[in-house]
Parts: sequence; C-alpha cells; structure tokens
Amino acid sequence: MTDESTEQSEKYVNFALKNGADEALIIIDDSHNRQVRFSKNEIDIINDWISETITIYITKNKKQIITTVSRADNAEERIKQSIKQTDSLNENINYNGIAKGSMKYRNLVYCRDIEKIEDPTDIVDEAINGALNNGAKSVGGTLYIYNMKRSLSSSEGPCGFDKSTGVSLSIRAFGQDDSSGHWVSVTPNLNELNPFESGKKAAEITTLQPYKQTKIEAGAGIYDVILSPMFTGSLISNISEMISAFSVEVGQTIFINKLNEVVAPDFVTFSDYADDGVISKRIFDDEGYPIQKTKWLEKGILKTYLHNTSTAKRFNVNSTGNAGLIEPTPFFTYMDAGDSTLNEMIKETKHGLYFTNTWYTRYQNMYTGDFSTIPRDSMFVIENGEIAGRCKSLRVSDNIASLLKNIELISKDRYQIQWWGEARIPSLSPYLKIKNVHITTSR
Amino acid sequence: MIDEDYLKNINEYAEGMGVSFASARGENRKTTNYLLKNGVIESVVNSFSSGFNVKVNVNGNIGFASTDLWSREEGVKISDIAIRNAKYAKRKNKINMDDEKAIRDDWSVNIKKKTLDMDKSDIIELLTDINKAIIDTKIKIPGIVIMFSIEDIYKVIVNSNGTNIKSKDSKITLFAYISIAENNQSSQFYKMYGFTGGMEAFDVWHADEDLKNECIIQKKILDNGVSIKPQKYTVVCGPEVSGIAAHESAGHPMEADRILGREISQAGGSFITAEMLGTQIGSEYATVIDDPTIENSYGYFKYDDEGVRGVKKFLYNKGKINDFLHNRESAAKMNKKSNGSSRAASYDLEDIVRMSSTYISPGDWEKDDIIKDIKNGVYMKSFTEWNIDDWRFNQKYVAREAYYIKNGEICEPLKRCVLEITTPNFWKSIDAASKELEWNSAMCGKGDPEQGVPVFTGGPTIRLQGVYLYD
Repeated sequence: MTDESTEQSEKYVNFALKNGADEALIIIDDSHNRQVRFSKNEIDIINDWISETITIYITKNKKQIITTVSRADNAEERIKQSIKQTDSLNENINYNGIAKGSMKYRNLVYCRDIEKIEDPTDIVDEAINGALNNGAKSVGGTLYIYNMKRSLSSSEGPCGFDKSTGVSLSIRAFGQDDSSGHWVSVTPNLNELNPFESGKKAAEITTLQPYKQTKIEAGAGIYDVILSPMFTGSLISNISEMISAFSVEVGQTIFINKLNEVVAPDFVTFSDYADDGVISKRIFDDEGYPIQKTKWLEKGILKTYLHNTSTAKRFNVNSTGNAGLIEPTPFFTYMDAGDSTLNEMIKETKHGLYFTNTWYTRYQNMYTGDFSTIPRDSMFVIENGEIAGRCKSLRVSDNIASLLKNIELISKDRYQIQWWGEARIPSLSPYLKIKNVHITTSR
Repeated sequence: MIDEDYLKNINEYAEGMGVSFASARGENRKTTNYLLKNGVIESVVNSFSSGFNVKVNVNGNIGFASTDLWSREEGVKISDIAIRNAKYAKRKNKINMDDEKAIRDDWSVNIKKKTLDMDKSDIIELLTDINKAIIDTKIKIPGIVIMFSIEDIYKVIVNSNGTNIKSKDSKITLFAYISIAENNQSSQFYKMYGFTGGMEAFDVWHADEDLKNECIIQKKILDNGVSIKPQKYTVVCGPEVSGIAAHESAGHPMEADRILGREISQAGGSFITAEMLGTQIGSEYATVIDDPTIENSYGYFKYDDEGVRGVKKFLYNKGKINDFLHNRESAAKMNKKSNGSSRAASYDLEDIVRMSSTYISPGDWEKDDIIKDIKNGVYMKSFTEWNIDDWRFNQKYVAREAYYIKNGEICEPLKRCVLEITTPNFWKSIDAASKELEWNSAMCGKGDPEQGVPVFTGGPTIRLQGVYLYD
C-alpha cells in the first residue's frame, strides 16, 4: 500500500542526492488527532490538531543533519540548506549509517471506525457514567483519538507507507474522603475501547468497598508491595527507556555491563514489539527497518539492548528495528504474564501495601538506579492477607534494580497502559507483587 | 507563513459564526538543537514550525483547532472545527472569560548577540569547549551529554476583544547530564541553563566553569562525604533549593486551574482551596512571588498567550495565601481579573495557567549571619532527585551538595541526605532569609498533552528550624 506522500518523499530523496547528499531519508507524517478534556463530570475543551511534518535526514561526509518542516514550508529549499550546513559540522565518528536494502513490511492494519468518529463526546459521557454509576462523586480525564499516516523513503533502500489509528481514554474518579482511582483504556481498535468499564474500574479503585471507612496510618519502613497495572506501567516505561543503547553509552541506565547476567527472577520476561494490537503500532522504525519482536530480558537474563543501525554496529550486533534517527527507542513493552491474581497476591501478603497508581518518578542516579516515586490515588494497607484499610502520603524511595530483582508474583491479567508523561512508553502491564520495598514519608 | 491580516480575517470569520469569544494565535518557530555525546556531535536538528490555532467560546463551551497550513480554506475549516467542537461539549456550567481591554502592541526581546548569524561550527566549538573543561578536571567521567538549543519565536495573537499583539521572543537553553565514576562509586547530576535573549547567555552562565566546579565538588563528596545521622536539624537551604520549593509547593498549588480541578486527571490538584485566601501557611519569611517581567529571565514575557499583560504577583505574602495565578477562564470563575498567567508551549496547544519566574522574596539577613549561630545544622546547597505529590503537599529534595554546620562553621560534606517534608512544615519552619537572590532555570511540565514551558526558579539562602533529615 502506498500513498501520494510516498511519491513525494521519494522525490525529496532524489532531490537531496542530486544536490550532493551522500544519504537522504525523508519521513512525511500526516496526522489529524483529536482530544476531549473533562473534569468535574463536564467537558472543558475539545481539540483538533491537523499537521503534516516533513523530516529531512541528510548525511554528507559522515556529517549528519536533521531538519523538520511543516508542509507550508519550502522543503526543497530546506534540503539545499541542510546539505550546505553539513560543511559547518564535524564528522560524527560514531556514525555507522542507516538501514540498507529493500525491506519487506507486514500488511497494514488500522481501524476504519476510529477514522469515522464524528462526535467523540458519547465515549466520554459513557466513561463518566461508568464512574458515577459506581460510586464516584466527580470524574476527570482525557480522550485521545489518533489518525496518523507516515511515508518513508530512504536513499539506502527502505520505502514504506504506514497508517495507524488509536483511542486512548484516561479517567480519574474521586469518591469520598479524598479517595480516588485512575484507569486507562488504550487500544488501536475502537471495538476494544471500554469507556463504561474504565469509568467503573476507576470508581471501584477509589475505595475498594467495603473498606472505605477504615483509615490507617502507615509509616516509613520496608513492606511487601502490590502494584496495579497503572503503577507497573510507569515502572516499565522507566525500565524500557533504560534498555536503549543510547542510555548505555551515556551511563543513564542500570543495565551497563549486564548483558547475559541475571537482573530479575527467572519468571520475568520483557519484549519490545509494536505489533498491530497495540496503541503504538508501527510497521517500520525511523530508518525504515521492519518492526520486530525483541525479547530483551528473557527469564530474568538481560539479552540485548535496543538498537538502530548505528548503535548496532558499535555493539557488533544487528539492529533491533528501534531507530530513532538520533537514538534507539522502545516502542511498546510486553511483560510476560505470570500465574497469579490480585486477590491471590493480597492473600499471600502478611504485612504490605497495595498501590493503585504513581507519578513523579525521579532518579538521583540512573546508573545505580536510586530513585523515588510517589504513589497517588487510593492506596491500601494489607494485614494478614486482607485489605485492612486506606492509607495516604507514602513515597517509594528505593532502587529500580532492586525492585526488578524483588518481583515475587506477576498476574495473569495484563492491560495496555499509557498515560501522560508517567507511562510514556506504552506497555502490556500486569499486577506485580514486589518484596522488601522501602517506603518513606514526610515529616 | 504567519500573516497578521490573515489571522484577523480568520478571527472575524469565527466571530461572525455566533461565538461569544474568538481568538487566533499564529506562530513561526525556528529551533536548532545540538546534542554532544561524550564529546562527539551526535546530532544537529533544525526545526521550522509554523501554524495557528482558533479557540472559541460558544455558549459557555470551549472549542479549539490548529493547523500548519496557511490558506483561506484551511482557516475557515479550522474555525468551523473549533466551533463544532465547542458545540459538542454541551456543558451545564458555562465557561466565561473575564473582561479584558483590547491591547495593540508589538514587543521584542532585547538580543545583544544575535543567534541567527552564527555559524553552526562556532556553536559546536562553544559546546566542545564546555566538554573539554569537564574532561580537563581529570576526574573519571564515563558519560557527558550536552544539549543546546536556540529558539526564535514570532507570534501574533488576535482576539474578539480587539487585541492584536505581535512578539519576537528568543530562548537559549543549555542542559548537561554528567556521570562521574571514582573508586567504585558513582555520582550523576544535571544542570540546566536558560536565558531569554541572545548568545550573551554564555557570558551570564559561565557554564564551562560552573560544570567543571560541580564535577570537582561531586568527586569530593564521593571521596570524603559522610552519611548524615538521621534527626532534626537547623537546615540552611541555598537558592537552588529555596527556588525549587517556591516552584513546587507555592507556585503550583497557587495555580487557579488546579484549585478549580481542571488539571485533576493528570497534572493534579492542589491542597489549597479558593476559600483559603488569607490563610496563614508559613512564617513571615514565606513571601513567594511570580514575575514574568524580569528581563532575560527564562520565564520572561510581556503579554501572556491570551493577550493579557504579565504582572508581578505575590502568591504567598508574609506567610499568607495571597493571590492565585489566573488565566481569563479561572479569573471569571473566581470573580477576579486575569493576572496574565496563561501560556502555551506552541501554537497547536491550548494556553493554560502557568508560572514564569517564581521565587522566594529575599529577606534582611546576611548569609554569614544565618549560619554563624547554628550549633548543629546542615547546609543543603543544591538538590538532585526531587518530587512532590499531586496535591502539592508532600515534597522530597535529595541534596546534591550538602555539609554539616557545627558551631557556626561549614564542615565535612554529606552524602546525599534527604529532606522529606510537608508543604506547611516547610514554609512555617523558615526563620531567616538572606538579602541576595539567585536564579535557576527549569522546564515546567503541566497540561495534557504535557506542555513544557521555560521558567526561572529563585530565592535567597533560607534557614529552616527543626526539620528532619535522613540519608
């Protein structure tokens, strides 16, 4: 499948080569995305964003330059300027080229129903009702509707057209006594979106009835902790960004010199794969290399970093199809399912905490993994295998490598999670039970 | 590309469609980003962005649409979409905007050393020199990332009040992330430098010297730092720490849109309610100001993105909750006037309530006098890891550079000690503030989609009595 923009991108590549580029790669991104923001059960604003961006990647004498322009700009003039500007640059001794050869991509799959959405407020109303009908007093959130087309043409061979659609609903419900719950429904297919169920789930998290009346002061200490998929999604987003070879080269990861070493229990496996069932679905990376499934952590052992062509050559491996023209990037992280359930995790916890969400994860050292993150929304104390009551104002102040090693249980059920900057890299995230987690509090 | 008459026509078209308010905001933004990785230029990225948005209020409902195509047909299409979006919203509680007078102005940032004429090789040399200054410390540094950007923004704002404002802005940003490894220990830190103006920013920053010194300090802490004995101390916070506290636990909770719940689903709410105006939250030294009018500050602007003049605001005044940050929507809801705090990160994003340069007001103490009477205390000069909950009540700052204070003297360095404290306890504990005021730069995140806007954080050296620190 092609598009007019594919011919355009090929034309620009030829123009760049004629004007002196050694390599040229053009990406044309054409999108019409929409968003509904709501709070206090009402819609605050509805946004439509229409854009077409042309990315021009030029190399000459191992000097690289990238230029992005909007469609109103004169792309050919910008190509000429870019080629001229390489004269001012230094040779990039790290540069090892971009993907070469004719590539074969999987067939295009996208959701036509998403393209046809006219009035998006029905979805939002359904989500709000799902929360209000299940005990919430107030509801806020966002709905995104994505319609994107991408054409790529490279002087080195790759040429492709991709089209993707998606819907992403984030809903936060507020109950009594400062209780709140947050849930998302994230999918490339409209028929998989569950607005009412998402609202209901957010509302149910607020109190985990019938425990809403009991409030417990949980102090600082070491706890066994159960994490909801919202929290897990945030951790996975952090960990998967550390698997980029770029992070390794600049010391911003716990995974330096850990290849083929045990970094997690033997029932933990992570893969990167932007297949047709996920919100970040794509069929080729930014070099035009076909998307593939990369098991980067298998049965607890670190197997590979994520690479583009240039980092792969430096590490003496093949590209994993995760370009980033500047740096490799994860696209979608699968965490393999376990054999547990949330209820079983609670039953097997003597003295612990159940966190339903987190935010504001920050590191003091990404090499050692020392960090903290603040659980938000309702959180619960577990005593002798039961939810004993609600608690608040706790912070996880620990080490990301330790958390990974201390995973005890993984749930069978997993959910596509992506929201805001907290779970930026989307993932298929389970419930987790992690032992011996350090918790701190304000004084 | 941007055309003032075109935007006026588009706005007039929207006004003619029965809206109670319409605005059009157009922008040309030219950015060049440089990435130096371990001393090698890894990428140079030019970005030429141009487009506009139309925002309308139809019967108390807000609709917004943006495009990057400047044609008459596209303008009509975008206006129609914005109006359609507003009509879809069907609110029961109608949204109003406060009344604002029309402003016609044309303002520019004062640039002493122009960026546009600079050859890229000159900039790469500047960055390479910074990298060399770090390497020349002879400290084992396995990772250095230096990012630099130059951003030129030409913006036009027109609205149905008759406002027509043109502006030329220029933001210069340097960011460094450095990893140190010595004697089987590691330390990492980052520093950000921001400036509104031209390349004279480098004369203000002295980034090469500053980063070199920071590396030397971090090595000393690795070599000689001791773990803190967990207990209550008299804690002296340097301007970097007082500035981040001003931003996180005074600026953010005083954003009226948070207080009203509009940011609740992602960026969060506030422990402060509209009824708490006048409530004592801190000591007499807890005066926190937000001021976009400070020239060359990273948060500088003359008018906000709703065309309202930016003004100095006392958020906390002598410990009392005093004045919220408002845009026109939040002001109307609270029967106030906008104080010019509405900002958008780019033409395709809605303007929302934001900070600019937020700082603790300097006090009347000499810095030496703040320290000289402390028998057993800690000087927390700067911070690394930090965070705060989404009600802006529980905050944590991990020291990047800290020292014991014993009998009025600054003594041995501390390994990363932690201040984890509630917002009222922080502000009530201040019993001294120095006369001097220092600034730091930050990119503040808020909104959905998340919008990063440049801000300054600032403050004097302050003293907190009886606060708990641990390692």
